[in-house]
Amino acid sequence: MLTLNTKTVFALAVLLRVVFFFYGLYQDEYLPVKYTDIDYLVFSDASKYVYYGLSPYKRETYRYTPLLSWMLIPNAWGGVWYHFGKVLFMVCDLITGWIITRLLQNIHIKGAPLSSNRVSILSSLWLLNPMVITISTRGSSESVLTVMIMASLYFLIVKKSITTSALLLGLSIHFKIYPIIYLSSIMYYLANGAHIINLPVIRWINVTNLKYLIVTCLSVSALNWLMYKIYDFEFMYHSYLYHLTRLDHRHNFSIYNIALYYKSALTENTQNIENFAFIPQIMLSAVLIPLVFADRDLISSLFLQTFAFVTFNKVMTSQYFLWFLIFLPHYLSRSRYLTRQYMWRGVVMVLAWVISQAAWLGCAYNLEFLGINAFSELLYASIGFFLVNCWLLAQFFQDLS
Amino acid sequence: MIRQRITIHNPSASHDGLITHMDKSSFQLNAPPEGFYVEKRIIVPKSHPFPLIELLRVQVKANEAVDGNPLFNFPTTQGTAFYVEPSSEYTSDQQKDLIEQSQALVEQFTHSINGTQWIGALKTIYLYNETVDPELMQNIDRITPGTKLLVDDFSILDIFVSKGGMVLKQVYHTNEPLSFETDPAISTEVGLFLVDPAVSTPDDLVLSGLRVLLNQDEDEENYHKTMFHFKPRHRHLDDFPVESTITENGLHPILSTKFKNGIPKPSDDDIQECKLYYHLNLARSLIFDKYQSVPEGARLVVQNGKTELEAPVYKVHEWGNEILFEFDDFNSSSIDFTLHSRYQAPDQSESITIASNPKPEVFVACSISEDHLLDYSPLDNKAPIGGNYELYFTNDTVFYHFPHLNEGLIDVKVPHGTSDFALVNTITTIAVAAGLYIVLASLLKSALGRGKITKEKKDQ
Repeated sequence: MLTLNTKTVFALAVLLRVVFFFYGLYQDEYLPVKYTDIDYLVFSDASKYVYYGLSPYKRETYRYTPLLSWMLIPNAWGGVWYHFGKVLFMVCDLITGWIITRLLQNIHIKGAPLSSNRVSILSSLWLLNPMVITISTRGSSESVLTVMIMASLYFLIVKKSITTSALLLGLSIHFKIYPIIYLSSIMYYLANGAHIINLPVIRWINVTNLKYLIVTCLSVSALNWLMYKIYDFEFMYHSYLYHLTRLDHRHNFSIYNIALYYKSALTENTQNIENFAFIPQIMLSAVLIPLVFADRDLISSLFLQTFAFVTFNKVMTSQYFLWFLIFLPHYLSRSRYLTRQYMWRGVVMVLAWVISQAAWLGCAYNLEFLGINAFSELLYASIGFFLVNCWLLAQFFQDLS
Repeated sequence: MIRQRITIHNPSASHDGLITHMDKSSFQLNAPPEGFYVEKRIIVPKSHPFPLIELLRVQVKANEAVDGNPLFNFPTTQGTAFYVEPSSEYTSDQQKDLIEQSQALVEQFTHSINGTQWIGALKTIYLYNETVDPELMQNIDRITPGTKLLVDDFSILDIFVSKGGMVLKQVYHTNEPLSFETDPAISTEVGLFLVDPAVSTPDDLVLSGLRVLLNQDEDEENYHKTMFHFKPRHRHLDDFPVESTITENGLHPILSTKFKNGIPKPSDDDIQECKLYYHLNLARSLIFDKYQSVPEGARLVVQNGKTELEAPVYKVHEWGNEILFEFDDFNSSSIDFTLHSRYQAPDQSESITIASNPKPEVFVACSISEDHLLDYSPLDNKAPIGGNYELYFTNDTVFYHFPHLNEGLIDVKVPHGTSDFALVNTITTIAVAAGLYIVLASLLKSALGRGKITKEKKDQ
């Protein structure tokens, strides 16, 4: 049997990131297709504007909180500093891995903690995952967000610090709005104490989760107020409103994508499915899943919520997979799919996800790089991937039941 | 009275035998085997009726027949270009009115170009389309009255209108005999010239020939042997052609311009500092990403037009982008410019959209000494507005042009959806409903299972 220890996993994780980082430099220099993500160029340009005292939103397509561009100001110093952001993302990526490990060490099944070997293997799903490493070394900022979310959970579950956890969750929501769906789970998770009013649903509210809610809201509001004071409506529009109103017509994994492309070309405004897309998405990810799973296993519930949120989202790119991948080691620590009896089903699930995704990627490659008209194929491939994701979600529900 | 000045360039070595008839009312010529290059400059003492427009320039170029001619300068982008400079009374809150007046002005010429798609270009607004509408020929009298019959060929036109009047120029090549007659309503001057190679240099062309004045008084001589020299603003690098082609790369085509014989350093006596430039009118179907697509060795000096990097073509209102790159010490064999295709509107009749784009203008621009001599040239075309790239250079600049080996426009193929929204929307709705059913059924099962376990626990 494979034996690993945490130190080995971390040493390998660092080494792999360094190798990927330098390979990226080589590819950028010598190959026609660049390794560095286009988003990294956007962040870097935005940080340059900030460095010169201007708004990061002067950079077209910068649709993030100004905090990110502030963090990357050293990129604007030029020379080797241009890679500062990537190093930061790699470090955040490793810190996320460290928190995942610590949370895994905190798990007790039938009173016994997970074995060191099991912790190492599960944490390597993040730390040694080539997709995770590629995304951070290409310069995608997702790991900055994942470290905030995992730190919030760490302070909540391990350190039992409600205030710090809530502050960090508020920071996460400011950074990217979607972690707001975690608030309901955490509130419900914290509901197992003395209640204030003994009425259905309202009795779930107690001093602890009320405090969590208030601190989170204050944290988000304070940051948003600060950014609004500095950058005015530009901040509100690019960081939040744009994401609520965007009609992404360029191809991505989302089930709604091709319909949105066709709709965007209509001259008349038509009420259609994508107008209501957020209803199943929010109902599932922010209400139903937390109600069923949050009090059983908070982190597994977050995994399911995020998986559902991404599956039903109007936009889906591979970076979004990191959003639920941070919770996967925890979910698997209790999953029956790692037992001998259910292992084959687990393998089939992984294969279904990989194959349906590969089919979509093949169509997208034909369109994007070969110029082949593949819009119809993309529609059916995205349906295939969507249905596989729904089936996986159903399997996860059964697993946790 | 309308005045016209016709300059005929005889590219052969001699004028002998070309003039078949010449008197006070008529001037007739037979073309040499190489044909004639003709520039007609028609001056009409009438302005336009649009109060918010100070200056207007319309440049039409349907072919490249006179590219490379040393006398007549029309090295602009193929297609139709409108430039409008607002009047001094114009204020920014009148933008809508200005566009409406400019649109009305465009409609005087053509209805095939959308007159609302203007972009800013320095102190002017600029509208471009890669096509030339034949209808424009029929409508020329609307804006320059009385000129339609005077224009022989509408392939290359340059119309400049100010408050003081209008100047219409046409340039063309012909192998046909030429004939000019007296018209009492028009003052006509015809010049026949050849370049004297013995005393000419690229920076100082010496022309010899004669000028004929029609409508002259009976007692005055109506023709004059003439010799004059001038400093051309546009010069040609005939031995250094370029070729621009599209390298297909899916939605990211590469516009590649290859220098067939390298890039020379101009060495005329009058030049001072020189740099290589690349000017392109980019149709709105294509995106230029200034953050990652500036060609190697280039610096972006002008980008006018919509800079939105994500919008599909049907959400872009402007005609496109005007781009000018500057190169320092460029010595590569090609300029590779990566473009990105905008998403096109779905169309069930075709599977691809052809986005036609003009070729780039590639040239070396040099500052010169004695630049005042450029102003003395009777053939200089520089105007206060328009002229594509000319607009961005100071008056002391001369241009050395790389001729293009390939003619016409460059086509980029962009795939688009071929179904219709109703069908795609129905399929998507069914898929979402099916997925939701799978998820909710399983979730319900989990919730009921949870309830059962809780009840069992209570019973225990």
